[in-house]
Amino acid sequence: MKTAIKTMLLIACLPFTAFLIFMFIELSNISLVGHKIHTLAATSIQQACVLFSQETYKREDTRLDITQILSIDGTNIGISDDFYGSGNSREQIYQNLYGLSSPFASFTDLDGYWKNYDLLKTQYTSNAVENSISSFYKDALMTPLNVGVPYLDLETVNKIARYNLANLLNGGVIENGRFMNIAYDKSRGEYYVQYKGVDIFLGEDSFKITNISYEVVDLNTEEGKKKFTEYTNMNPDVILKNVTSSSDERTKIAFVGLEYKITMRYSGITPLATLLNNISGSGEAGTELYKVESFDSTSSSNEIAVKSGYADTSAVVYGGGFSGMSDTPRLNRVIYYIIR
Amino acid sequence: MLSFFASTPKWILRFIWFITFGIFFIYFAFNVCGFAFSYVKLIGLADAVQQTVIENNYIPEAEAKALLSYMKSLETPVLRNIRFSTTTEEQALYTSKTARKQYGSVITVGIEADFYFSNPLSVKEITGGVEGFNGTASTGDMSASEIERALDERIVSNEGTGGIRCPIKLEFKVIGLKYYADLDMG
Repeated sequence: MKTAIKTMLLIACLPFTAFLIFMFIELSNISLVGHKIHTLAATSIQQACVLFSQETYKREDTRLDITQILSIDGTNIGISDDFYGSGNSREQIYQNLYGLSSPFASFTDLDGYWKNYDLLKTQYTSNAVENSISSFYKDALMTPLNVGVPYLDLETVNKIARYNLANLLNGGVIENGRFMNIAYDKSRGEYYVQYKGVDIFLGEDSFKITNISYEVVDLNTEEGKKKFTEYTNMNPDVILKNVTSSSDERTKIAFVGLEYKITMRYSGITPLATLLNNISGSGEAGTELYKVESFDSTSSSNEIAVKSGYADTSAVVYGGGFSGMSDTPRLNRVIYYIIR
Repeated sequence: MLSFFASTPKWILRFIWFITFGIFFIYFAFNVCGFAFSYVKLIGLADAVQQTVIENNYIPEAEAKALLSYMKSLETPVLRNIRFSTTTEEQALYTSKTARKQYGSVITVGIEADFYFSNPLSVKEITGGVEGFNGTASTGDMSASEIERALDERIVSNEGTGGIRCPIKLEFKVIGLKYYADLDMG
């Protein structure tokens, strides 16, 4: 009798022990993956800025011809390397980015600091001499980036950043051109990438750079030097040693702060998360999500999503910019700059 | 008290068992904690390696030196021999001829290390310097420096003893996100 009670107690304790172990694994995973996702999002944006500043559209072929992103079911997820508009010539792209009807034409945040940059913008004034220099710059397809000013086109950088993030989070798991970690969420109507128990949504409004702000730091002032070190982790003397006059344009450094938002949902890596999701999702009409659980590549049907009764537990988090995330140990700022 | 011990051999046996299992349990707990801490440190290091490759598509010389120095600083008596994984050395380290790759390339990178589980029954030979063989003193056949070198070699060769070796390998596939104008698109 005593042995039977002990056995029953042991059996009763097993699910509780499993619950504790799964809980420990899930909590460890959340704490590690949360930071990792922010780091990857920041890296995607940072590298998007670098790629944008490399002006790849000035190559013979304006597209990069890299891997197109297809989801696990082979459908095009709408994120491609066509960052500058398919079929556009480099002149057309230049006009789109810096022409009269571009956002650059009305952009004034960085005016008045650098002579060459101002001349680039004089095409919008009535001064004949300035217009002729500006016209020369225009013919040569010169951009603010060419004169050392990090002006970024929000739409293009957003496209590159989304492409980068989808690639990074998929982790190179590609079979027959299909990105095996990217699937479609029917209820939300957008694609998401599964990354270590977290679903990160890739829709245009789910992951995007929400704001680009500019700040010009003057290295002639102590405050400017302090800001420079804070943003770059570099000693300002690196620049000042080559400068002879305080009016030298190189003492003005432009920084770009990029704020982003990212939408994610925790799906878990143990059966516990699935169990909790199922419990919280049951009986709540209209909140069920559809989640890809398997994919049969031989099936002719496109209907690959399996209803599994999940509640929408997605959350939108924000980060980046000059201030980053003050409530976390790592600020995760996203700051881009060019030093001449 | 003594009479108690003398009169209860069963209790003494239990006490001996308790001490033995206690030692094993302490070693077990130490190993679990040591492994967990070491693993978290290695994950951080692997992240740094991944980040470098994402930003450069390979590991440039300056970054490789910084990472190697960081690896050295992470080593402990139970976590040794931290290094780039063989695949990383072959495919992504600056010393490899095919290291530089174009934007969008899938690159496998990672690290390897040896974790040594401590075992109370293992024997570790403790070697140290030898007194009286300083300066130019000679033993006839070997100089003092030769003896010291020989002892150092013994110490190095004995590093692997004193624990059960458990190799750890953390490798990940990442995407290079830097565009090189001088390279063809793949």
